[in-house]
Amino acid sequence: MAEHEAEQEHVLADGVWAALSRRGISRRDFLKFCTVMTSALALPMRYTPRIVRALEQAQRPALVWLEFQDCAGNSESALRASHPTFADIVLDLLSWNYHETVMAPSGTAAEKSLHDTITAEQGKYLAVVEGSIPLAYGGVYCTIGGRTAIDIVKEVCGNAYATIAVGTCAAFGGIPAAAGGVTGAVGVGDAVPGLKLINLSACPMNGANLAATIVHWLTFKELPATDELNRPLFAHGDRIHDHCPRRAHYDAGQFVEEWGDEGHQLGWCLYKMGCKGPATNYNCPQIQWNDGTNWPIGVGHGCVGCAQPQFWDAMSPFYRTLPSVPGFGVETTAEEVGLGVAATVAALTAAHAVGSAVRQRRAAKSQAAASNTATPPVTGTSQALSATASDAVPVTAGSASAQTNTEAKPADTPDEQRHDTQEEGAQP
Amino acid sequence: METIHRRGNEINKVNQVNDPSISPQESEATNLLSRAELPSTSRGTELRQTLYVWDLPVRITHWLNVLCIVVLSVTGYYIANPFIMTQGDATSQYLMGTVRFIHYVTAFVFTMSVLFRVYWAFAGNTYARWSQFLPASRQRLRDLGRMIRYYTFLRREPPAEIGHNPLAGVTYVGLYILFGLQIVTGFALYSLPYHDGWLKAGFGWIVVLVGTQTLRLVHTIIMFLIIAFTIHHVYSAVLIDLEERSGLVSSIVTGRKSLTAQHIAEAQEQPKKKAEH
Ligand code: SF4
Ligand code: SF4
Repeated sequence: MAEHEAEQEHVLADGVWAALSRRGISRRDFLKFCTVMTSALALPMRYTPRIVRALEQAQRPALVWLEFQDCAGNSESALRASHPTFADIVLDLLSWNYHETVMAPSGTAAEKSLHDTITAEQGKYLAVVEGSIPLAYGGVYCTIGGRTAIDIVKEVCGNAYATIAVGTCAAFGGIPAAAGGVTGAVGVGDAVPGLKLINLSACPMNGANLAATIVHWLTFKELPATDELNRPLFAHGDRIHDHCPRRAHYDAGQFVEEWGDEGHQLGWCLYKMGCKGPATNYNCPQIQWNDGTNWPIGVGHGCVGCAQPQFWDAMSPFYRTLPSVPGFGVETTAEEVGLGVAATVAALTAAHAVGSAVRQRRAAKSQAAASNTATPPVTGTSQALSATASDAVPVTAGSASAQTNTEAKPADTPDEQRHDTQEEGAQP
Repeated sequence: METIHRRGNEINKVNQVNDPSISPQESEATNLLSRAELPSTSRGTELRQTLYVWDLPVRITHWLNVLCIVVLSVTGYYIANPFIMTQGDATSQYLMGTVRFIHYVTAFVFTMSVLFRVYWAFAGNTYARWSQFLPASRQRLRDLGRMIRYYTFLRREPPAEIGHNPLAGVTYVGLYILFGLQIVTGFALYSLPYHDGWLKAGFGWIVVLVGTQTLRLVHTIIMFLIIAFTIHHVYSAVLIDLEERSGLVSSIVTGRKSLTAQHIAEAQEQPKKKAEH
């Protein structure tokens, strides 16, 4: 029994460096990895030796990876690498005890390793959640082994040292939570409030950021500092727009206006093509994709803001600068609505001007016809509206200096009783 | 002591002032008759009095607002939809950068102007005060109804007022709410690149709550609403000026309105007295 426990201990909490050398990772590759992690964490290079030392000594924490309403894109992103050693190191940072997409066992055997980890490593393992959690109808839209997603999350994340929500779906609900979704999908933070949680949003999140979060934990024994949305600042502290290589063209006023036009060929800013870089906080331009090969804006497509909450709805239309105006149809722009409002007011104003002119003329006529009948006092004079405004200006402007001016008395005092009903009825 | 500004013929004035038994309508008719012969600038025979209505801070903030709205709308529209493009080397051009700089500097001026005007609503003269904007008294409420009836052609004359009419006052409350929203959304957008400091502390939470894209949409729509207001504002100023011949349009430069004694009396009159007519 004691022997068995010791073996399990070995599997669950093996040293990082021991695991790496067992796999045949060279010292050089290990140091390269540590350097990449230092820059991913936006730390000065003098931190590299500290990270190296920490990873050499660290025990490998256990990890369980849960998938709910997802596309496994974040699993892909975490494991993908054109350079196999990088993926090996990421895999060997932790003891991956449960991950449906990649694990060998299935069925009850798989569920057993999940259960074993939760009981043996309570409070010490890391829970990673991928995909959103449906809450509608008691969570029936996603069940695994007969248990609902919310039920599993409560148990697995509740007993973990910390939870990392990978991808925008797990962090904020993402695509299953977009308009039209019926499953009541939410992110982990909304499903189980109060968890120790890191949101690695983006669609998908970048595997380098997951590795960097884990390295930060192993090195500094605490999770990285986060923003208001629980996203680590090293990955989500800055806007895409503030690190974009096309930014000089933005400031210069040089914009792509059509796919493939001259500006597009010259690498100008994609703002007018709907780039949401100004609205998105992510280290996409620095970390990039496929081992730093390139990133979306680098290849000439605007950012769609995948790292922001509700990006599917909030950043739509992806190829326009501003969102559509709610209630005006998907193709209506803010500019069209705004100009429409201004034009409507102008048209109403013009119509009112015509009406006022007619009223003036009628009044002048009726006055001339009945000038000696007793009528209620009329304020001001009945000048025809067709007279010009400049006509009225000299009344004060021209003679202001010749007049002594008096500060007028307040026209109304609130406490005075005023009765007005008869007067109103007497109006012509 | 009030000095009366006299225009037109002496007798008519005396009549109007001293003899209430003569209907003002009669002098009105005389005006209409005499107008036919006289050049338009010397029309009008009523007794007119010049009142200092808009004090200096009101006029200064008004024109600062005008200037800021024009500059902010043009630069703001460019930021939303950059309609002018530059050519050549990006490092030697800074059009968007300059436009944004002007927008931000003007935004600070505008904010100060709006804040000062709100302060002045509690410190200024009678016609600058909050009671001109919120129809709190029965008279203001009554005149609000009259003004609406005037605009909808259910009433011949606008109610006699010395400062703002109550409907205009309420409209300005709406306008200042728009200004406030515009300032808050603007500063929230301005805070985007910042990690700390007063901008982030004061406005960063709005970005998290509402989202950048919604802020940009609201900020743009409000610009068009303010433009729509401006169209109506200029029209109604001219309309009422033509009704009252009070020099309303020029009063925002000089601060002075030229009102008939009858108009002033009516503006200050008790509703009870009117009912006796
Ligand atoms: S391409 Fe996008 S992120 Fe880059 S400068 Fe233009 S608007 Fe900003
Ligand atoms: S460019 Fe924007 S939308 Fe594309 S991956 Fe990066 S953060 Fe996501």
